[in-house]
Amino acid sequence: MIELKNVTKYFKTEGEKKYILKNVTLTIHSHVNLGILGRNGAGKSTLLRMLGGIDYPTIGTISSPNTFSWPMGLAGGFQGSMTGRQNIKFVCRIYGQRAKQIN
Amino acid sequence: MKKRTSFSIFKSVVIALFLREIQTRFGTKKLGYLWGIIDPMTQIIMFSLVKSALHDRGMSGIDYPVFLATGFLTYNFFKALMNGSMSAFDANRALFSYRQVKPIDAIVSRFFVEFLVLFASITVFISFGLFFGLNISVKVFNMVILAVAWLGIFGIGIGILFAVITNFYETFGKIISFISLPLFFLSGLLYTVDSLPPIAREIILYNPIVHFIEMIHGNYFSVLNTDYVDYEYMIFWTIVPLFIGLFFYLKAEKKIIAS
Repeated sequence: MIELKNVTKYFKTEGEKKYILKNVTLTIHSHVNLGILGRNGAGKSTLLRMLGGIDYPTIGTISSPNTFSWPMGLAGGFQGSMTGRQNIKFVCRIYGQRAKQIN
Repeated sequence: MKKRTSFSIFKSVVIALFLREIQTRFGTKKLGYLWGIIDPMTQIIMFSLVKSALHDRGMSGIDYPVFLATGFLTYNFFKALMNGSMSAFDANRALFSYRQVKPIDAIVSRFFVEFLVLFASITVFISFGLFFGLNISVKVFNMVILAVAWLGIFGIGIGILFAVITNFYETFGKIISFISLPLFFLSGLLYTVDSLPPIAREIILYNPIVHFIEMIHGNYFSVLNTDYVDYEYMIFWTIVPLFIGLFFYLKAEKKIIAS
């Protein structure tokens, strides 16, 4: 379950505020498949990043009692200077797995 | 999956970043480990040669290379902490897409990497000192350790503050690297404060690094003392940047992650 409370998010472009969300309150229940539709640049990715906790709303809060994965497929997350194996080990480590379990 | 406390998350992230830092810095290029030693080594050889070329009598009771080594190693440690912190956010930005990874973890892990580098280079230098029969005995061992640890805290405080500022004003980083060029000669690495004329002494004591270097020198060599070390001034320079840095960091954490 993910709860959004009075969430507003905007970016400032050339002095203008471009709103992605305007005072949105909604609850996304667990075990529900949800699709987000929107035009190019509407803020789908930003919303996903905010749900994933790596971007933050300008006003309001997003909270969840559950644990979930980081947003996948939104570029980033892999460090170019590390090998694939090292990257995966890194992810295991930050999720608190022990060395034996990793190997 | 069981929920973890924020401290255990912090711990596992710092360990993961620490290992990553070591892999990327030293792993790919096999010579990586050596740079921590070659760099101060060349400096010490160079300045020792200059000193002997000038027919300087030097300080009685002190082997000049050892004097240089104590200063350079700690100064390099501080500089690496400061510069490393400033580039820590950019170097780890891709990893901020994991929710567990907070920007400050990058700084903390670099702090431990620098400590490891310092420890390794000290070990190598001690063996060199013993090999060449230099006098490397320490006067007050505990105070030297305290001074180095204190310098570490001072370094991380400055580092956090500068890292947050650099994140929003890129030019700040350039200004700092420009300022730190003459800092090498103004930090009491090549001379003791006592050997300076009174006016120069007064000016140079405004530099907090001088106090740390003097504290190390004074407690390391039996013929030197710590008369010029102002502990209150050092506490001021440790606490104020650390707290201002952490305050700004807390305010800006979300912006740093999202940017």
